[in-house]
Amino acid sequence: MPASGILYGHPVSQPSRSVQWYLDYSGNTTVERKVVDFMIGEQRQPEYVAKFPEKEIPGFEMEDGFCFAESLAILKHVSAGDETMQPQTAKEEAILNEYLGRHYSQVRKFSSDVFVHHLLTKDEEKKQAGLVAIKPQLESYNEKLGKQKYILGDKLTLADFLFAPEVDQMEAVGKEVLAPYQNILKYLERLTTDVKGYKECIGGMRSGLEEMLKMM
Amino acid sequence: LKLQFLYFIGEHHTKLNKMPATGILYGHAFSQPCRSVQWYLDYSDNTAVERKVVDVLGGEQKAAEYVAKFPQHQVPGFEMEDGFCFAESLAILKHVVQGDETLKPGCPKEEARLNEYFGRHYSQVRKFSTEVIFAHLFAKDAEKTQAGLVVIKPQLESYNETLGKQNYLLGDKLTLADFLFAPEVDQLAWVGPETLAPYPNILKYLERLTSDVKGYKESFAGANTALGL
Repeated sequence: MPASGILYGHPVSQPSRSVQWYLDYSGNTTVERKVVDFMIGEQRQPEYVAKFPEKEIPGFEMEDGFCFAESLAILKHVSAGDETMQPQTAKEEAILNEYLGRHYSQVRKFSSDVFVHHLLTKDEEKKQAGLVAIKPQLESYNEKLGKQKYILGDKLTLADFLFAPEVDQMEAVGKEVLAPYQNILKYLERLTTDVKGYKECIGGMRSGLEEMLKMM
Repeated sequence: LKLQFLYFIGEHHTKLNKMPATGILYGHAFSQPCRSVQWYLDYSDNTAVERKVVDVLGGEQKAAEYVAKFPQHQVPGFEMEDGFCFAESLAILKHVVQGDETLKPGCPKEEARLNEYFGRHYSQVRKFSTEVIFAHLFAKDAEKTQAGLVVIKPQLESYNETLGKQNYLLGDKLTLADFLFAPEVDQLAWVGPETLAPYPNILKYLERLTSDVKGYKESFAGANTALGL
């Protein structure tokens, strides 16, 4: 049975995008989606904090009111019934879990530093430091994506749903950030043409960002 | 008779899947993510996984032989019996624990809470604790150490509150979250005894692990010994 419940998120939040994209990809219409406007601090409102004490987005509420956060947890929950997203062997599982660890400690850590300092704190020094820190990651994934279609091989996995929204948002910093990484750019184009929901995912991010910038 | 035979075969296959993990764990006794895995192996009495020390203080993780297996020169690293190699403590822990029913989430909610912790572990607990330990032990930068302790304070306060109400991180049952969390937090004591003093429930939790959970005492002692503390 497809997952049901409520996803709380925002179209500019990379981890929210990961989950929203998967829901679109899988044709899920039973998870209700609610926008949490973090630009006006909606995630700190008592009603939201009562459900998600750490005030994080995305957040997920099961049908019985059980709430939890973290994109990894939500993505795994909503894809639990999708055999195409389950690792088939111990090695596939190891590679996926290896990426999940690296996603937080490397990819997301550095990309969110760059994005936050570019857009919100306007701290140019920290932004540049973030761009330097993320460079080895981008080089490494660029090399991989020159040899295979997706992050972990020639099969789409949950890793792609996590990776792409972190990396594509670098365009908000400037086209020059991803220009040296042609294989990553081709990968993102491939997702746009071949993977359901990705075009809307990145489109939603661009519109959401435009709205945010108008408010700032 | 046929039904009994089929039942036996089913049970036999189930038992095969519960064989202890085998392979080689590469790590170091003071590395928190290595400790997480080593502690689990001790806890589960696994003697089938060979353990090799990687002298990270001497740069052995950058040696050609190691990099050939683990291109990102990370510890811990795990090598399966057929030579397949992978890194990241989350991946290794999940691999070696596969046959252990006691540590598998029993329902979608338990699974969601565990995965929720995995996300927070990397983005908060480990991120902030390594900054403190690195600044204190290696950079010997007192200012950065203190700055790091300020950053980790909300996490410690939150877990201190949680651990005032339950035995373990996610409830009254030991989970993989504890194997990841405890080695990150106990090492903060190296900064000084006052570091964890404001968090008595965390201290009681660590004492509980020491007395009740196999392998934990040796894990912390091993880290101290490795650093000559």
